[in-house]
Amino acid sequence: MNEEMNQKISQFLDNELDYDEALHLLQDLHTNPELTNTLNRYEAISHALKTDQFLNLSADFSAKVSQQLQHEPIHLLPRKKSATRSFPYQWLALAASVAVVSVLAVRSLPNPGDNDKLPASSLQVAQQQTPKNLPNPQVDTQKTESEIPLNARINDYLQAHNGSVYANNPNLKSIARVTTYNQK
Amino acid sequence: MNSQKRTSEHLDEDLVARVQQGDKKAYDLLVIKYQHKIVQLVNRYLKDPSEAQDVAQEAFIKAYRAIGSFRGDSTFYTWLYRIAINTAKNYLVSRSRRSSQYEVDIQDAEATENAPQLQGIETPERLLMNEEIVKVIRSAIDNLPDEMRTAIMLREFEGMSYEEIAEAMECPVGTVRSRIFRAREAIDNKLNPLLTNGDF
Repeated sequence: MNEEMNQKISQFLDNELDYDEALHLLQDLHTNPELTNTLNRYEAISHALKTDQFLNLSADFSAKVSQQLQHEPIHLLPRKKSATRSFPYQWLALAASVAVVSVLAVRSLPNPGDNDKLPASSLQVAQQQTPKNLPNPQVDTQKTESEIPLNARINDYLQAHNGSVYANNPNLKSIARVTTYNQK
Repeated sequence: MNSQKRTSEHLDEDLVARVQQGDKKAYDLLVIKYQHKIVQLVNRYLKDPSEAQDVAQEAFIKAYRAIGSFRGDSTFYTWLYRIAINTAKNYLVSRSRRSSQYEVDIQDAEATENAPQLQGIETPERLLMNEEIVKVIRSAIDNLPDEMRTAIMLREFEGMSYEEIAEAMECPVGTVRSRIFRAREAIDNKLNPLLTNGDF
């Protein structure tokens, strides 16, 4: 038993005990001066090996400190808020944010079932539905191609993708319309 | 090694929290844990082991009084270390005021903080005894079986963890644990007659 405790003291000195073992050993050291003496000697040997100076602590060192502390008032500070307590709320907020983003993302996706219903291309619809009081984007693009090359590129893109599967999608039709409308 | 370090710091944090909640016994455990380190530290300044113990006790009392303001910005030991150094310096100042015989330059004390051998105000008898004890320790180390000597030297001089020593010596961690303990025990057994008869 004693040998086992001494080995634990040796490990404690080397910082090789885990939390529970170290706490139990400290409690044993608190009640057993013989064990404290062993710790002090091992510490003194370790110190002497490194510094050539042997410094053996008196056995009642900690008892003297404890005795002096008897007259000291105790501390009663408010408990610190545990960091782990705030975690559930943070995770909840994060999960809610992810859910909202997911719903928005799903709603903005094109509905593949609608593709067959509308045979007309998006370009055709865009041209038909352009408001009359707005300039025709195609004509306008030809006129000001050097000034606003972006419009030309958009129209080229729409024409190039005229026959694609997505061109018949009503969601994309509205996008095409808005794009044309915005590019003055 | 790192995980062990974290564990040790967590233990300190928990003990400090207990002290801050009115548990004085938790402070006793912190004193037991760090008493030797603090006395060694103070002795580097004072160069007198018996005075060093008194000043170290004072440092522990001061630390207890101030523990309410400890917020964990540094480790408990770093915080305690600073208190101990300040207490030692203040003691040196007051001692030098009391008697010019003991006048000590604090800057000199700081400069020699890590000096391996200190020439202080210890008595010749004590110095002689110290010399003898160190000789016995060295001799005990020399007489250890090779594996034990290697294990304790890697630990004490190289500061290696048990895991690192096990790797270096190609043996299980449990064997390293046992070898280091046996080495300490052997040195302690050689030392015991001197300590029971001597002044130390």
